[in-house]
Amino acid sequence: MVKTLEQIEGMRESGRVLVGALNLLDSEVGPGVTTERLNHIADEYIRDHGGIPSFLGVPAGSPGVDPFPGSICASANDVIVHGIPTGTALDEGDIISLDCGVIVDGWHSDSAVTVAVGEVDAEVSRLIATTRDALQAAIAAAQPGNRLGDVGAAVQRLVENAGFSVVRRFVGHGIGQSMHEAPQVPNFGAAGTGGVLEVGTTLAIEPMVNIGGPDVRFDDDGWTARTADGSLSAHFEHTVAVGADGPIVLTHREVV
Amino acid sequence: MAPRQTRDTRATESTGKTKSPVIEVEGEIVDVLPNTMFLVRPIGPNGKPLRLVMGANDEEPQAILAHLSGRMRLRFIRVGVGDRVKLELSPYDLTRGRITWRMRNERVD
Repeated sequence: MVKTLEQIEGMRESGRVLVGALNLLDSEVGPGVTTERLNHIADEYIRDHGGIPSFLGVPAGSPGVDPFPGSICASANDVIVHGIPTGTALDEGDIISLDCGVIVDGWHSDSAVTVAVGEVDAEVSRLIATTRDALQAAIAAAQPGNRLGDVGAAVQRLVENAGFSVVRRFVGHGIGQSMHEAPQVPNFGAAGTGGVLEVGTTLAIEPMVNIGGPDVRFDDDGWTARTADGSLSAHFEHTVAVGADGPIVLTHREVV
Repeated sequence: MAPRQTRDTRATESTGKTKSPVIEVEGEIVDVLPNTMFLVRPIGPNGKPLRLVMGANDEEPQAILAHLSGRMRLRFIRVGVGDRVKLELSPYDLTRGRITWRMRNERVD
């Protein structure tokens, strides 16, 4: 569903709270910090700033799985997405994806970053940089009149040229009055295919990139999605509106 | 939070083929014709008539000759004058289309 300018402003407001939370999380990440602690910090910040954390209680896609128990997804190392915050401390050399969603006045925003805990290997830094670049390339492709396949193709080309692989099991999504709206936004595909991006379309674009293969396996908790081969995985996400003059990043951060 | 990919996109991925390109527009039924054919006036996202072909103008908006998709016929979805519907058009012939969806009456945006 396309949004009017006022509606997009509402989503920008939501994005501001989310950006504040992610900035705070970014500054708190370090060796010895638990993801439970990060979850608590984000939850408190969002509620203090008039928002509601949207991840808490998201129903699972499969039967017999409990709703998501955290306000953030904290996905360390080989966890691709949907890591549940735990009491395990982060170690020097880990990487962690922090994914968070906020509702303000009924408007959703959704954004993620992957950060290194202390010093990491050069190859790991390259993974993080490539995934961030892939998100930027995808955003640049979100021009009015372009198609969804253009966005996916931009990610896929950049990632595969870097020698990494794109996760296919999960996709980005439309966003607005719900966290997940149509359409699906795959991080792969052929340019020139898929739905046309109208002015006022709002998307959560989220490339997930693995050093090894693209395959996914799930933990017994039904949420935690890991790389099947145990290789490291990075994930970046922004909520983006397709404006008449080009894409507008509603969860823009100064640092990323 | 990334939803799992559903079948729509997975199907095209596994075969490596893509669905033949279709243009999806909304429209309003202006006439009911025999043989489950309809005349449909395309409507843009702003609620105004959509011009798809040369020569169509506001006084004489273009109407698309559309048939019901097989699935809608199987499910006996009834479509009448004034209904909002979703249409699939072939990029090669914008004067004909396939009705794939009848919108609910009270529009939920």
